[in-house]
Amino acid sequence: MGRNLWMFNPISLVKKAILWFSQGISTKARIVIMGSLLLFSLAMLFAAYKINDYFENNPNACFACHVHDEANKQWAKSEHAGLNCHECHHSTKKDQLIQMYRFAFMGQRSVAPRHGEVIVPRILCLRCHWERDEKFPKAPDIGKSRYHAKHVFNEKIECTKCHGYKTHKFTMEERYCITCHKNKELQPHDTTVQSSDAKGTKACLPMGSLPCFNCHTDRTSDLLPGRKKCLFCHGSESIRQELLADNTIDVKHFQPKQETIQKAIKLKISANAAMQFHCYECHNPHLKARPDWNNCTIKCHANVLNVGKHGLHLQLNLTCKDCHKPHEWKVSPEQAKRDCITCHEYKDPKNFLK
Amino acid sequence: MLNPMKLFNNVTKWFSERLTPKAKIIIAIGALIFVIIMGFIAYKINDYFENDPNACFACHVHDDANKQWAKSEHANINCHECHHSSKKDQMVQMYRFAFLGQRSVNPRHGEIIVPRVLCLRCHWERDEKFSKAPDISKSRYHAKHVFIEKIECTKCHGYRTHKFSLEERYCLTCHKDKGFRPHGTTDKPHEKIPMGELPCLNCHTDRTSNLLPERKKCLFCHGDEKVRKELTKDATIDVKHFRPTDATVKKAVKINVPDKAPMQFECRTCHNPHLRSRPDWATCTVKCHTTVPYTGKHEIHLQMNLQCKNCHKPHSWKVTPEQAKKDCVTCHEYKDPKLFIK
Repeated sequence: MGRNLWMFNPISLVKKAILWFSQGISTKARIVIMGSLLLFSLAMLFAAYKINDYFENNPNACFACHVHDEANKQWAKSEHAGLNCHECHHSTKKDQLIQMYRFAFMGQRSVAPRHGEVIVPRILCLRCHWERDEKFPKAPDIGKSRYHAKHVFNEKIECTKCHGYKTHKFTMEERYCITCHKNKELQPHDTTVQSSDAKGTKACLPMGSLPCFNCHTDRTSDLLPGRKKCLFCHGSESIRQELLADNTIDVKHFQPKQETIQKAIKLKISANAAMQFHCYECHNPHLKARPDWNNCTIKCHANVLNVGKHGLHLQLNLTCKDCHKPHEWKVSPEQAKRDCITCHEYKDPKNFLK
Repeated sequence: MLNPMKLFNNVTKWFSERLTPKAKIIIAIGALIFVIIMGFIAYKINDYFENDPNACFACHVHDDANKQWAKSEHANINCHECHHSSKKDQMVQMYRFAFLGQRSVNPRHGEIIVPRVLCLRCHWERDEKFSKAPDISKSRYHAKHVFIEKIECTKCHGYRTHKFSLEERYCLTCHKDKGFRPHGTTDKPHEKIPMGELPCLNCHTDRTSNLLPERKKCLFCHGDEKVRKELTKDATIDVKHFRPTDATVKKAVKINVPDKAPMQFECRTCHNPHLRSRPDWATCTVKCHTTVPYTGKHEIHLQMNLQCKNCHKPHSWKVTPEQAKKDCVTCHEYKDPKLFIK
């Protein structure tokens, strides 16, 4: 068994190099070599850091392969334009190494769909938008939002369901809620009241095409519009100012348009008017443009038919609103002097109930 | 002087030149077994310190905490599942202990007050390891307190070490002004309010979005067995963990609401047990029925100092001809109630 001296032997190579370094050259040469070696490794380290930083934190690195122009353009003009891709589209180091190995050694030129988390999991969103992240202290906090308490916390709906259904467009469309709340769609061409008039054209609900959040508010625990939210359009400027100052999501991002407000009938409710409860007790704009006056005496005021002179007046085919003016309700002596005398002489409204 | 390079050189030289092939094989295998055993021991030691509560108990001699933990809902969970300490923290501690002679630790070197993110891992997001952990996502109490108010879980569930269920009236810690006045100060001073000492969640329910008791929750005690069965089946937190005791249910006045009775809205519209034991009859004609004093024969009856409830029996309200034949005739002859409001 002879030794194969001509074979490449890394151990003897190292030995030779050390021997050469320790005995074959001058001290000066040694220092020069050591110094340049040190410089070389520092430069390599710096280059490695830069390369890693580029691939981790520079969107251009991503764009080299991910040529999805539309997504990139949308991102650049979105609220998240200041964030790097990897803040949301996480890929673990392991995932990345597997991808790189496949690319370099197996010639794979496409990636399995969703190799990172292309659909961003809510835990990443919550990091900035619920728990606070020092890096992004200005991210809006959904903690105070009742919409989000219901949909994120109670129902565990992924954020991207509503905020990412169109790539990198984070604000929802005005009537996107209908995607899930299918049966709650306002019927702009009402089918429940008058399915069609004599000419066959369908009656139109006045609020039929409004954005959901024009009414449904983040101010109430059941998300139904409280009085104030209705009065945002149907009331005075002072209520609008008050609600805008509160800055809930519904008035911040889905504020009714000037045109909508202008169109809305303005109500005047005197401070001591009767029945100042929620508007939705009588009004349901999902079903009808106006409350059904037949309901008054069926749902709540069942006794009224028997009270005082009501029976007599109803027999004359008068409806409730002919005497009880909506939102004011009480018949004042002033009104009686004006309205009652169209049929008979003036009588004190108080005696009407006797 | 000991020169490790030289020693290593000698050992390799001895191994490669002085030994028979047989001895070499035995030594190599022996060394391999030794390495494997050492690896196994290292794994076991690490596992012991990471996952065995006894390792923690060696230093953390807090008997009460340990006993409470052992009988708590979390008895089969290791200390480190909740009391996290990073590897770095652990190394710093070990260095201080071994080389600096430090014998006590800074308070909260781990997260002794467990941050909510660890609780949520099992109780909101699901953790496969603890799949039976109750899910708080369907709870409206938690939506309000955890999600909206961002109150740390331990504020309510850990204020006494390792006792995770709250005391019955713990809510009062924050909701100070909502404390019942067992000796009512607003109604009749020193009169005891009957519901004055009940647990908060006997009434306040996880069933409604504003956490106020809806009709059914009131009827849990004041209604019949059917309502109790229905609510118990829904198993919301309030009936699961803070179910009114049998004694409470038994004491509660049972009310009978006829199907057709008017005014079947929320009980709290008239009742507020935080303030008074009974509704104030004077408010009927002030808050809602303002025109009633002028309606029909009400005026004359009110002048005789009768109260609403003398004729309108609570919860059925309507005066039926049968009732009129019984009650009205105590003062005058029978008249049809319908004519009363003409």
